[in-house]
Order: sequence, then structure tokens, then C-alpha cells
Amino acid sequence: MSYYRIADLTVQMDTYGRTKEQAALYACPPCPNPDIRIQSEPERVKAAYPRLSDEECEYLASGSSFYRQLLDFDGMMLHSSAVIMDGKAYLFTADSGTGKSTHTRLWQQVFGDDRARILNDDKPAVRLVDGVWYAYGTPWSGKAPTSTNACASVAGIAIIERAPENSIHPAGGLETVQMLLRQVNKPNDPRLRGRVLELLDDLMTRVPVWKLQCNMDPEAARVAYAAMSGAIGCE
Amino acid sequence: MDFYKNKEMQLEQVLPLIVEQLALGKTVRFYPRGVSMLPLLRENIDSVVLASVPPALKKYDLPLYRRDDGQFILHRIVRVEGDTYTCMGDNQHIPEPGVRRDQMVALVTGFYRGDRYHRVTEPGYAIYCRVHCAVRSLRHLWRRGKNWLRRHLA
Amino acid sequence: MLKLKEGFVLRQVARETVVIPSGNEINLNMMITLNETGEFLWDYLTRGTDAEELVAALLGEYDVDETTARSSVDAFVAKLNEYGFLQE
Repeated sequence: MSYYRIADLTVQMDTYGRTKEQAALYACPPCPNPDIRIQSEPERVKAAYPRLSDEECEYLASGSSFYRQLLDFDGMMLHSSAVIMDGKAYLFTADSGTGKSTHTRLWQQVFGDDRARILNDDKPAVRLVDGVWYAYGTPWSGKAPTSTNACASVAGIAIIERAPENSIHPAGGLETVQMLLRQVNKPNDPRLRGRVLELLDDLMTRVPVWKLQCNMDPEAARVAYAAMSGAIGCE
Repeated sequence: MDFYKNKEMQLEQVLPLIVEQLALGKTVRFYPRGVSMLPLLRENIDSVVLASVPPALKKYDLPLYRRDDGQFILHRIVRVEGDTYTCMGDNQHIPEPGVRRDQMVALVTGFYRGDRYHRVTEPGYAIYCRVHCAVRSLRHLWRRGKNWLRRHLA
Repeated sequence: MLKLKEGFVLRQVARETVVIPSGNEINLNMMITLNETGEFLWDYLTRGTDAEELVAALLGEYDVDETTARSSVDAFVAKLNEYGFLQE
């Protein structure tokens, strides 16, 4: 059995291939009472997505097991690209193909990759601890093994839309909720589903949510940072 | 030569019809006027479906009520105080306390955003209500701050 | 063939004659307030008619020329279609 420390929780997981490689960063000494025991059921994923390889099924199944148990520790994984800068985490979410990763790369280009670090490129964990939402790297970082074993309080979440000009506004309304609901897994189990809704509710209440309309110019990163870091916008 | 009148009927005029329909367990759909329920309800685009008022109203319910001056209002309940309610439009910042039960005409049970129907029981809507009411003042502050900066830095 | 869909009834509301659906939902923004001539045509539409018959009925009942009657009927039918009152 192998043990990992993910999202400030001890996780017991026996895995292989890409999941194991991406988890290596999070390895920790064995522990008798882990918070989470990963029970991955790759055959169920395989049944739903027969075209995926065994290794990909294991990756999705282990992530899903982690996600479901994380819910009981006030946490979930949000489909997003997360960057840490000056000790704060900034999360960029969107439907696949909109340019989440492209945008966080712009942050590295503009602010330097020593100052702006990619926390996770696909499914960072967010957890509510003592009234503060923190973002954590996880092994489930998508195809690119881009994750950092780090943690930072979440300064903001931006929903990315492509646009010719860069602008950012506080996001609200039903569409924003529906958008974020699309970016989290919603388990079939009614209790867990209820947890997801409660957590998302709390997350959106405590953490500013923005709509970032942006292009691929470095200016996009400056516009996003200025508003999300609180550099502009308050009297 | 005309066969119909182009004027729109006021809620006031159709109130007996509304009351009758609701009492029969039917629903009434209409397009609310104004901007006070933005960003949820956009004038001339979105419409609401009203049903009769249940025995108890809750926080975040969206009733149609009638002020004592006769005006019809569709605003959200943001606080329940005994047998009166404090109501406020989603796009407003000043609450209206003391709305009485006997002023309530109907309750929104669903709404059309464009062509898409939403029930008030769906999870996304429930989250919208709570989050919107919780962060309303922050959003207001952000807008004011941005305007202030625009004025002073321009 | 012009015929009203099932389930629309004329009602007196606030001293006006309005057309409302008798189904489970009424849409206050899709109510037509008829005047006297509208009510006159309504009976024809309820049992099924065509534009020719409506024009002829108007010419027999009212002091109106055929061109006006025809264009008025066309406009009325368009309005009823817009509100989805007529059978396909």
C-alpha cells in the first residue's frame, strides 16, 4: 500500500501507471489511519467509456473515489486551471477547449514562472478549512503532469470566455451557478450530490467569482490579476 | 377596421381573473416589468409562472404582492419576521420590511429564461438565490469602487 | 381553413372581452382584448371559417368597403397566429 498527502489529508492508494507517476509528488510515510482510502473501480469507468485504456480508466476511477470521499472533508475538485501567485490561488474555469491552461500560461509569461506557479491544470482540490477556502494540487492534473504539491487560500475564481478584448466583471446570476455546476462532478448518490451543492453554495458565497472575457495576449493576465487580487475595485 | 384593442391589460384589471385561476389550482404566466429582479428576470425576455400562495412562505421565495397603494411588486423574500416579510429585488439594495401575508397574491413556482423553463426547486436556482443575496453588497461595492476609480484616475 | 384551437374561451374581465385559454396556464401577455367586431368574428372562428367568409360577413354586417375588410381580416388572422390561437 502507498500513502499520499493530498489536500492536507492522508490518502491510501494502490495504483499504477500515470496515476502513480502523477501521485509521486504527494507520497508520504505510511499511516495507520488514513483519512481516505481510494477504492477505485476502473471496470465501471471502462463499462461507460469502453474506448479508454485501462490506465485512463484507473486514473478517472481513482480521481472519482478521491472526489467522493473529499466531500466529507468539506472539499471537492473543480475543473479548472489553478495558478498560485504571492501566496494566493487563482482558479480559471471553463468548458474544455476554452483556454484555461493557455490563460494560466500567460500569467507565467507575464509575472515569471517562479512567481506564478501552476498548482494544477485540470482538477485542483478546494477545501473549506476554518471558514477559508484553500486550493491544493492533486495528482489528477489532466494529461499534462503539471501539478504542484502546494496549498494557498483561494483569492478568486474566474469563468473564462474568449473575446476580442480583455475585460473582467463580477459574475452572478443563474448562468454563473449553472456554469460552475457543470465544472464539478455530481455523484448519483443523493447525499453526496447534496454535499456538492452545499459546498458550491459556500464557495460562491465566500470566494469572489468573476467573468473574464479574454484573448490570448499577455494583457489578459494583467487584467485578470488586477481585479482578482483586489488591486482595483475597492474604495 | 380593428377587431381587438392593442392596449395591454394592467395587473390591477386582471386581478380577479388571476385570483380565480390560482384558486382553481391553475397557473398564471406573465412578463414582469422593470429592472429590479435583474440579473434573473430581464424585461420582455423572461417570464414567471405564478401559483397560489402556500400556507407558509420561506426566505428566498419570490412572491407577487400588492402594496397598500395598489402597486404590484415581484420581489424576493430576504427575511421572515414572525408574520411579516422583508422583500427586496435581486437588483436592489434597500429592503422593504413589513410585507404582510394578506398582501401576497401569488408565488413564483417557475420561470422562463428566454425559452428555457426553470423550476424554483432546481439546485442551480437555489444556489443562485442564496449566493446572490449573500454577495449582493460586495458586488455593489465593487461597482461603486470601479466607478470611483474611473472618476478619479481618468 | 381558419379554426381556433380547442380550449380558448371568451371572458369578461374588467368590462373587457378577453380571449383566454381554458387550460392549466394562462399567459397574461398572450391575452387578446376583443372589441365588438372582434366578438362578431369570434363565433365564425370557433366553428371554423375562411378569410372569404369573414370578409363577406363583415360586408353584410358593417358599413365597410371590401379592401378595408380584407386587409383587416388578414391583420387579425396574423395576430391570432402570432399568439398561437389557430389550428395549423
